[in-house]
Amino acid sequence: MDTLRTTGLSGLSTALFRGLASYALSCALFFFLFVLTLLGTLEQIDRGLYATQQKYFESLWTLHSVGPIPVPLPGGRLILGLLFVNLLLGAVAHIRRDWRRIGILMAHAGILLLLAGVFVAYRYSVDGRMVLYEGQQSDFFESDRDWELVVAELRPDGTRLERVVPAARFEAARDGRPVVLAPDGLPFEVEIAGYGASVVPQPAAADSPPHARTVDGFYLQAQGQPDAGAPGAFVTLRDAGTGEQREGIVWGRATAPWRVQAGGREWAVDLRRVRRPMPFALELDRFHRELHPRTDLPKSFESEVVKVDGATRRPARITMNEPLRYKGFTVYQASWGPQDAPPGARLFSVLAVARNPAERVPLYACLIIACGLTLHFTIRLLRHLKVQGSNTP
Amino acid sequence: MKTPLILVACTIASLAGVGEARAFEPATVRAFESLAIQDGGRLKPLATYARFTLLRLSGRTTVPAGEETLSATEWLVDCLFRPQVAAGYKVFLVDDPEVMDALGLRRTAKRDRYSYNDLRPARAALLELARQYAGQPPENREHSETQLLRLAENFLEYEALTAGDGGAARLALVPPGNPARTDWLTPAEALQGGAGEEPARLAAQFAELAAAAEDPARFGTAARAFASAARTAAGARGQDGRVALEVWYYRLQVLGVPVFYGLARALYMLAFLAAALFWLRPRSRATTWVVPGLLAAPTLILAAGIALRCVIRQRPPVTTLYETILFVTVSAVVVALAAEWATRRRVALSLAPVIGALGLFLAGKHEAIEGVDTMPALVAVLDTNFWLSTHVTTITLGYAAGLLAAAIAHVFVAAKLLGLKRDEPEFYAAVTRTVYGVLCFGLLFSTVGTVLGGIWAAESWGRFWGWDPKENGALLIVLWGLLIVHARLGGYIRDYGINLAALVGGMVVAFSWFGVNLLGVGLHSYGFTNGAFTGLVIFYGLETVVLLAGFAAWLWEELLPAPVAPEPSRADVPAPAARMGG
Repeated sequence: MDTLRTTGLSGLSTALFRGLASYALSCALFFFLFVLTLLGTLEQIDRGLYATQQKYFESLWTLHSVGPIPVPLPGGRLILGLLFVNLLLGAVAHIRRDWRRIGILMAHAGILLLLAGVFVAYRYSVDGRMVLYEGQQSDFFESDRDWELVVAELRPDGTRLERVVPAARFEAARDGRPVVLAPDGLPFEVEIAGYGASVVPQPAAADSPPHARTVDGFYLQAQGQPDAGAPGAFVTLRDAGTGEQREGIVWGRATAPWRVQAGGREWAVDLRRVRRPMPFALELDRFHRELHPRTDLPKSFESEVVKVDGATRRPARITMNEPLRYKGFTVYQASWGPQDAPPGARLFSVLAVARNPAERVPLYACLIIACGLTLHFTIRLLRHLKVQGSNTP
Repeated sequence: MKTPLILVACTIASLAGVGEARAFEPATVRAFESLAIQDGGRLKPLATYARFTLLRLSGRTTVPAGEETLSATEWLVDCLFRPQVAAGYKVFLVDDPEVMDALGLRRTAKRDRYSYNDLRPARAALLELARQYAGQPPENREHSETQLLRLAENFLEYEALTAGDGGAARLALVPPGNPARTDWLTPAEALQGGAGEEPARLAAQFAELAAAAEDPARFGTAARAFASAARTAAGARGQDGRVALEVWYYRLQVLGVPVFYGLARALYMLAFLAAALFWLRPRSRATTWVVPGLLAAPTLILAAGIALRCVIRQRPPVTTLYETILFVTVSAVVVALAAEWATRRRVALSLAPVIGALGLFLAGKHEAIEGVDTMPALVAVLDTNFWLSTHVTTITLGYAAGLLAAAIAHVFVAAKLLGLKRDEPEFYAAVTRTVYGVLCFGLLFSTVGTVLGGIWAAESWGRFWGWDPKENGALLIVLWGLLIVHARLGGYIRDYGINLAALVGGMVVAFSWFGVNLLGVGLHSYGFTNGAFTGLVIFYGLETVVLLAGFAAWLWEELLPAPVAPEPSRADVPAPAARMGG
């Protein structure tokens, strides 16, 4: 190890510091991250991206089965956190007053910046998507992965009062362990059971599972692949006073919510993606899609939108590789649909929306790393050539 | 006495439909070659269309016909205008003998080419089996089933070309009348109402051409007239610019060998022979200029080819998998030459031609297996010259450096196994330094390239990192490089460690470059190609053998009594606890 400046710490602290700042730890962290990335790539074939990401990269630790033997591995979060510490302490430990090290210092600073940015993005960014037909306007976008249960009272004057419960509150609901909620102001309690993250409602028939719960002749069939189905559950509204109940099914891809009368009022119960509000609205004016001639390869697609902020309306263009940035939000042209639309059919534009406070950080980090490494290797190469030159007879 | 025999032979041959191969004059063929056709979303010369259609069917860019060899365009013209003759050309490549068995046809060899006439008796069986196999998901198909499916697709495409109308319903040869429209028309479409006067006139000229197929002289005149009219129409739209250049790119030959890239490959092999010969005469001063000189020509050809492609496509040098192979090859050769200049050990110099030849061989194989136009129109997300020239180029340079480092590490292992230069430990230290230097160069580009990729993804899709297989592949290369660098700094690896780790690094690059595309998941998935899979398996097998051999050599050296330590090596690359020969 290179010489450490003595800091007057006790023996244990010094040992801990040296360990955390050591090359050995760096190597171990790189190695484990390598293994995680490799496994996380291969497993995506069967388990899908989201599940693999949760298992390997967003966890503190995980178990990987080598045949019948489970092998514990550190998770992505632990590794990246330790890497940050290792980089920071390593820089402190190995600093030498040597101008030739400036390149390496810069490169490491860049990586620290990048890791910090990744952390901020992970904790504080929100993203999702907005689907708009031409002429439609929206001031919210929908989360890609988070779902919520909505119990909306449909009032006679046409307005709706929504009560929203995030899925985290009832994800644990499986048959036999229902979750009961009693939101304020509702004349009934809401019981959620049989929740599945990827299900498709199927009509009960002779060949369906015999003990599956059915409502209105449908049961919820679990799908093997995470994207093959959508979240769904059985919902029971139970009147607090009379004990009367109404049963229904809510499903993420239902074309309409479950309409039910209870407590003398009309309700719409639905399972939908979490909605995140934006400080402005977007209206889709026109959507262009250009295909390469005589093919169905997309050449370009763009949305002409209007930013509606209070009374101001300002046009903008969003196209692939050229997003719109406004009030901390970035809106991208993600895709469109329906994918198999005949020419002249009404198309909708799918815009990806993200708010990431650390959005520009990777760019700065990249520049710093590039400069630092180039500087360092150029210096080393020149030194090597000088030595080489003094060697050759 | 011979003449009557020849006459008889020709008559019989012509009756069989095989003898009259060269019915069209070179000028006529040239006219067809430079016809602009809109296919796959871009304008290309008919010669390119013919080349890749033939490649897809037959795995070759020429067709043997009796004594002659037809170019792809000549073959296509025969298909379009003399289908009965074309039906005898052996163009359908059948790789898997089970396919022929399944069709109930007699096979001539395990792997052979058959003509349309050979296959036609089994047409019904072919289409029925293909229909069945198409119903299954691709992962569940046997190799022979996939091959049969491909054969059926090729068969139907061939039938569409030989429909007898000269390709009027199939080839978009007619520019639209309206300057604002971008879709070109087939002659059949142009004859319909509403297409416009200009297109209809051109289409009528094409019909005359098709009608003149039996009369070579008339056909030639009509072909040249049509070509000229079409070129004028395209020119009026400003759209005929680079068609001629592309024809030239594919057609340029020296002694029958295509310059791009058959000639370059041959020159690399020649350079390698020279390098090998010079190893037998190490003291010769000619090494300093002969081998580099021999390397100059193929490298310049390769670089010129890449530059030409940029001009033809109006794009940065790397936009498709095929182009990554070309770019990796030329970069690896150039970096090897630079490494040679920095170390002067003739190791990198001798490797450069090997890499050049292997890379071009791989490019050719890839082109033949894929069988599609290597200059396709780009999909929307790739339509950004900035990111293509920054991210893709740096990542590809990273691949090149990683593979070069692995290649040099092979020399280390081979030399150790053969017990070469035992009295010259400085040799091994120098080789290790070279490997390490190239690795560091690669690490710079891989790291910057990976981060640039993330920034591009953030601009396009709104997220910097998605753990997509291709992203993960790039990260694996960076992590492995970082591991080597820090392990060396920490004194955990020395010369054997660096070299063996570089070998593994080569395998990591291969996984990232080709392996992830085979997984069938993620945004960069190109689907499963049997050829690529087999190639990867062979590569990994060979590399594992080399790794094990290197490890065995290290063990052997460890178990021997320690030699007397010679002069410590230059302070240039000290590991903190360096021990010579360890």
